[in-house]
Amino acid sequence: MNPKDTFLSPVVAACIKWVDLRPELDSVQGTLAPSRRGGGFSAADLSAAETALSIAEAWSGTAVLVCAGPANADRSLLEVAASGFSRTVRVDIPGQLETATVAELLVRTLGQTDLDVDLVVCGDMSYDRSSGAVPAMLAHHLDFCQALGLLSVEPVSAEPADDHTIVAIRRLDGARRERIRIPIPAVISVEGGIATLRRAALDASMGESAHTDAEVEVRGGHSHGESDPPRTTPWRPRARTLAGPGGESAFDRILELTGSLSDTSPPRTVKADPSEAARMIMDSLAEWGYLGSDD
Amino acid sequence: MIPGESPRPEGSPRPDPLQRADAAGSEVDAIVVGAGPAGSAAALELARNGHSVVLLERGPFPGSKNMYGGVIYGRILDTLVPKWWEEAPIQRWVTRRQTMMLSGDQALTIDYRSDRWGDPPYNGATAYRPDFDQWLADKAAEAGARVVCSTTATGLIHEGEQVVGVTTDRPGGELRAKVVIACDGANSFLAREAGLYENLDPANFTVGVKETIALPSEVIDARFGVRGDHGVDIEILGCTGGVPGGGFVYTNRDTVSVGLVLSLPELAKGDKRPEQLLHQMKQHAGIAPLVEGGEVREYSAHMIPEGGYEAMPELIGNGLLVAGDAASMCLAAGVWLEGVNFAIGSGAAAGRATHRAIQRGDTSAEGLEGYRTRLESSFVLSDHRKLREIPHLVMGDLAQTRLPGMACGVAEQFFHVDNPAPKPGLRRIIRSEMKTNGVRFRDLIRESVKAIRGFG
Repeated sequence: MNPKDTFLSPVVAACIKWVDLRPELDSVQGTLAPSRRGGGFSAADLSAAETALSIAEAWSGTAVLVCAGPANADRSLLEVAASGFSRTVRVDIPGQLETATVAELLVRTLGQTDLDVDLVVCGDMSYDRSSGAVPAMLAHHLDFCQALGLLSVEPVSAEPADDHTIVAIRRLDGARRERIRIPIPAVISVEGGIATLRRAALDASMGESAHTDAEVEVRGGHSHGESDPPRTTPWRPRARTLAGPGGESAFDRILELTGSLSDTSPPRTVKADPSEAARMIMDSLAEWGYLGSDD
Repeated sequence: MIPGESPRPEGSPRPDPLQRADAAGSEVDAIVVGAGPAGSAAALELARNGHSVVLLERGPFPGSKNMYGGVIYGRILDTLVPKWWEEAPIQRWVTRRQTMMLSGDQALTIDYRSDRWGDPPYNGATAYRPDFDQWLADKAAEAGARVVCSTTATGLIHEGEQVVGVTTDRPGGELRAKVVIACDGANSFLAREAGLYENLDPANFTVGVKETIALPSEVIDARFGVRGDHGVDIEILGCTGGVPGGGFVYTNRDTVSVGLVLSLPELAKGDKRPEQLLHQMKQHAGIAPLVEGGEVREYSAHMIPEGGYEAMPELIGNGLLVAGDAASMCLAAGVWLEGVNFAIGSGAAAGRATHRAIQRGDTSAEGLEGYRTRLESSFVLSDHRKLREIPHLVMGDLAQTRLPGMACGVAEQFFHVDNPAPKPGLRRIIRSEMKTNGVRFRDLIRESVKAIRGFG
């Protein structure tokens, strides 16, 4: 991906996906059936849209909305677009596709020169797959920096404009956080709780409904009716890989797996006044490694 | 359609709803608040007559906030959408109507069926309101109305005594028009703000609660004795645990809707909750076999304006009309529980009256007076006027508790075979059950006379 020669007006793309928000789950078979009117955008995607608008405002740039979804997403898409996006592009995806396929189709659009995006903002995960992998795949294909699962995003302007950066906070294991600085071009993904999409002004909303002249640019995706081969098993989150137990005998391995006979701190009940109780909790958290030395 | 009027010809350009119209300086000709059946019918009429109209809906899509506990009688649609039955999102055509009276563990049912109601042009139908309302709003949009969702009209804009628009909850949310049609549902804030409701009495309102229970369509067919797309509507008395009201069961394609309509002030007085009363009704021997094994997919509640003719507000203000539930036009007259058709009828009348007023250039209350004339000459006000006493009759103690108890008791004794004792005479049974249920002869006569007068 060639960096832009100039960053006079950065282009920030919110990249969202039309999903079924209320699919019917067969609790016995584990199969999902689409609901008839449950389509929409996840809270994370709407949060991404607001984040993109805020960043574009801060940088005096342009916000564009790119959506992966079928034609019946257009009405809702225009409602989101009415919040302040200058262009709305839908990558036509009529059916359920694998994550990698969705990412490739989005990249084809995001990489087109007429869009020329500098920053892509995604939700951290969709409701249908929940893998959160699309933003990483976009960053890979676009050869952009990536920072995923952000809890706060602060655009920092600089001169020249191509030195604009994002300062963000990212969630880490163990309830810890890290503060990072992200140069552009970049792909970031944000959690659903960090921003609420602003209400569109009435005059913008007047052009948002169906049967209006407001337009969604449709870019080629999969041809209609085409989709990845259907799954024969229900969708399940991927299992985490954990190291196996290290004991020599089966008995030792079971002991290690269950934690029996290992040296652990048994739970204890304490009675203390609030300040003392708070101190004890903090001490325990530090002892268990959840707090750094600065906390 | 009134004489001399014609809809916008097919193929002609749609009116631009945002066109800056003319001397009056309005942004649009009309704003319709609420995309329920009344609002969509009004917007459809206006758009077809070439007016710029904006249809505001507070929900994310038309019908998203609506529920009902009855049947859609679509005859009024014949003039708005010819052969509507070929495209409307109907669940089942009602070919079987039952009135059920419950008392204790007893149930007495009057059952009528007609397969003719299952053929065009049909009689009544069940439908999901989000589907039906969306369909009707789409008709208005196709005709040129602009539907703006997720937008609440928060107040009226006045110029002197004339209503000239509404404020909304969106940024930059003022919208001006020559006429505002308030179809914002029960407890209309716009009608109240305009001072059209003098006395808003909670006694004129009920709370409707409903469960939608999923069952396979073949199970519904077997339990309710219907086939294909034929369905059943059951109205129930004596199922509300002493709270004035009634119940209903009706069939959709693969769900059954079960619900109660309960007097608002009486419910507020007691310690009973609507979901408890609904649960009790579902346990009754007359209802349980119909719904057992089903999965509750949805629970919803809504306020219903059941006061009828006496509870209606002033329908016309300067630049303002009120239609549908906002004008308390739901008909709750015992065996007749109708709302959608009255909403469509009043909305269409409001649209036509607005069209004429704009044509004449007079959108004051006097200029809009044609709305009342149209309602009075149609079923909307004539039915309400004729049945004005019936809501009070139906919600009275006699109809609510004593009469169902007496009717069930009479039926039980009449059909009970107690040999070797001889069969008791019918008069003796009735006297006995009247005494048991505290029904006095003079009360029965008085209420019967009222009913005969009321029902005409």
